[in-house]
Amino acid sequence: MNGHRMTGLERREARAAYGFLAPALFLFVVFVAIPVVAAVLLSFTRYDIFHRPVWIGFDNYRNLMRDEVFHQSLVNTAFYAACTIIPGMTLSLALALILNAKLRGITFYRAAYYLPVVTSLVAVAMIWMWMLQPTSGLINQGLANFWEPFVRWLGGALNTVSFGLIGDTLMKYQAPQPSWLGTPTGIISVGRYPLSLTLQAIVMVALWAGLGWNMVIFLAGLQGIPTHLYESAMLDGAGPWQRFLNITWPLLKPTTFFIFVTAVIGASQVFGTVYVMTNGGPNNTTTTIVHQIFQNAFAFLKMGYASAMAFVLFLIVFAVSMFNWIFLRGESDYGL
Amino acid sequence: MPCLALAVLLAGCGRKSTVQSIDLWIVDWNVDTRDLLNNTILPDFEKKHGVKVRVQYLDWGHLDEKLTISFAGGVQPDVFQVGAEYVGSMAYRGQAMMLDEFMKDWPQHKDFIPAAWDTVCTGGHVYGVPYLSAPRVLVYRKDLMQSAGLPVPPRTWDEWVTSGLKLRKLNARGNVVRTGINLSSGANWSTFITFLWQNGGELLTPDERRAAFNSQEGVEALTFLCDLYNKHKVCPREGIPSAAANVPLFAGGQTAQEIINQFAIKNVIKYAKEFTVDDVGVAPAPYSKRPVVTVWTDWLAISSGTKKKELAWELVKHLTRPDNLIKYNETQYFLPPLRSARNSDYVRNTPFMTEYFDLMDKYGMSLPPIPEWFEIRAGLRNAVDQAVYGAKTPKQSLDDYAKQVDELIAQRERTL
Repeated sequence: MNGHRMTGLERREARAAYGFLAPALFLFVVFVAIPVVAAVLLSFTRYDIFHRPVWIGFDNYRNLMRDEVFHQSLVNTAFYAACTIIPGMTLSLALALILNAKLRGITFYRAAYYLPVVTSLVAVAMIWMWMLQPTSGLINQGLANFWEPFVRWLGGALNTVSFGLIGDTLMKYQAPQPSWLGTPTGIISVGRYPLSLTLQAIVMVALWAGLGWNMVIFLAGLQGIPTHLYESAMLDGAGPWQRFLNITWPLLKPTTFFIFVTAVIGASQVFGTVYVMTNGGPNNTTTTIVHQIFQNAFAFLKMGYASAMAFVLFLIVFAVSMFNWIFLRGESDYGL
Repeated sequence: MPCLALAVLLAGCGRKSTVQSIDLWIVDWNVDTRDLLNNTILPDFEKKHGVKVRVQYLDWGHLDEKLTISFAGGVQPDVFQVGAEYVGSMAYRGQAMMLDEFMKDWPQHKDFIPAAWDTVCTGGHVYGVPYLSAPRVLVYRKDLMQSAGLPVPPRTWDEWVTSGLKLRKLNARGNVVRTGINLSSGANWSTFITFLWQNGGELLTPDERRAAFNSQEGVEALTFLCDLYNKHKVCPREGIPSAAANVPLFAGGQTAQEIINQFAIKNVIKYAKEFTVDDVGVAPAPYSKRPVVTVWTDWLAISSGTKKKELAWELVKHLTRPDNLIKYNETQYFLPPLRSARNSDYVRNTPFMTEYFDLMDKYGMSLPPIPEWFEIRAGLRNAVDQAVYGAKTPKQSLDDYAKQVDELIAQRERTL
């Protein structure tokens, strides 16, 4: 092609290289490339494992367009992503900044915040299910225990400043005892799809469980920033906020970009917490795209339809990743 | 020497292969069931037929995955147990063997309770044998109804609403501490089906090719269910949690009445403190047009891929032989679905078992045996909940979903 003829040594080296690559390449082709191509082809068929696939063209995709449960899963996944990615990253960064300080016993705190990441997802989900139980759960018990002293104090305070009616009414108002995992309604809706209290509870669990992972990556990013930059800035009279804005944030950009991209992909594929805690209910208000793929593939054995869903998910993740790559990636290392 | 070793090895292999084995998967079991099968029922069979029964005790949570994988991989069991909703998909996917040919030499099949037998039939063919049943009837607190001067038991929907309202108990803050009627909010679709059938409606048209639940009867049934929650408020939509761990609401005195299977009685005997089983009654659920008891029957199927068809059938016959069937059901408090079992010591001597038995025999109905049932059920749950939570009107919700069911069935028919 460029006119260069390989020497004997180069040919031997190339053969050796391909030899070393072969096992990994073989596994990749067998377990990744072929299944991916097969899944795309299956998405144009009706296939239930027990009968031969039947080619149905774009029927599965047409059905997706009018499948209300799938639309609900798209809305739920988008809501989950919106509530976990940016808020989760913000909290993780804040935590990483705190834990980056040279304080006594800091290693303990770092380990403690990382603990949910190494805990089994099922165990985490089960513990939260107990905590969110409506009557005996820790959260509602806590609400009940703090509520009465709080309203009594507030009501009393209002009474003393001549707002007796408001104070008395407030004191009669009982502590909310929500059914965290059994309420299919919520204050906000997207079209006809409610963003239920149950979905919000799952978001809360996901935020807690994911905090440690992002925190550790931010921490690694923070520790890669040379300290002399901070020292110079301090000599120039820069305050903590200015140091964060002009040194930490720009130099963390590659880390932030990496976390953002992986968080988007992770949020798009959320499944485990939903499957264990609610199995998509109540009333499909916590079902997600991957939960729908699982449900259709393994409960209803609609492999073709599930493959179509998987392909749509791939397109969404690909589009978002490309957007991130093109618009959010940037020079950010100050030439270090 | 190597030749001798090889000969011994081959001889050993040969001897091993002469002992025939048969694989059995059981899903409904407890320790007593396992002991009964392992120590009595299966050894009897092994002795009689000179075979080894390799039994696996599974749980419902993994059954579907395990069955799918084993069938797809061609390593399915010879005989396996499945639930009340499986016959349509099992027959359509060719997983369960058609057993018509065995019926003429097996008069026992006429002894099964019709609703239980319907569970194993589809398209006029037999695909299994019923193994245990759990009918859902109205279980009510006789004592509370009598002291409130209510008709015992309530017979009509109107009487039911009245008693539900009167027996509902609130605390000082207005929270429900005892529901007038417990409606199993997690399974509104199931309650809707009962109401639909009671109101003279059907889930599907007689040819099972189109949805029929959006008929006038269906809309009335769903409206009644929505009204119980939203207008009469006999039960909160999210239900009420059990006051004590593992104690169901009825046994814990937290509901006055419920449509539920025989385990309600077992739990009253085990857990109830404020009342006894003498304060309880069972009856068909109150109805508008006809009394209905939904019957859930688990059954035994023979795998279509078995190479031991005759032996597998012998095993099914052995397991469902009246004495074995009754003993098996007794270990788990289920109802043996044979009419002749009504006079067994187990049924006669267990509180309310005879009543449950008679109600199942007289008013029993089972779910439609169509291949798409699991998917239809998932969608029906959604449609019913949409109406219950006010996202759509009952008519709109049922009409919308009926279109999807029609399309679902049509898709299968286009493939055939």
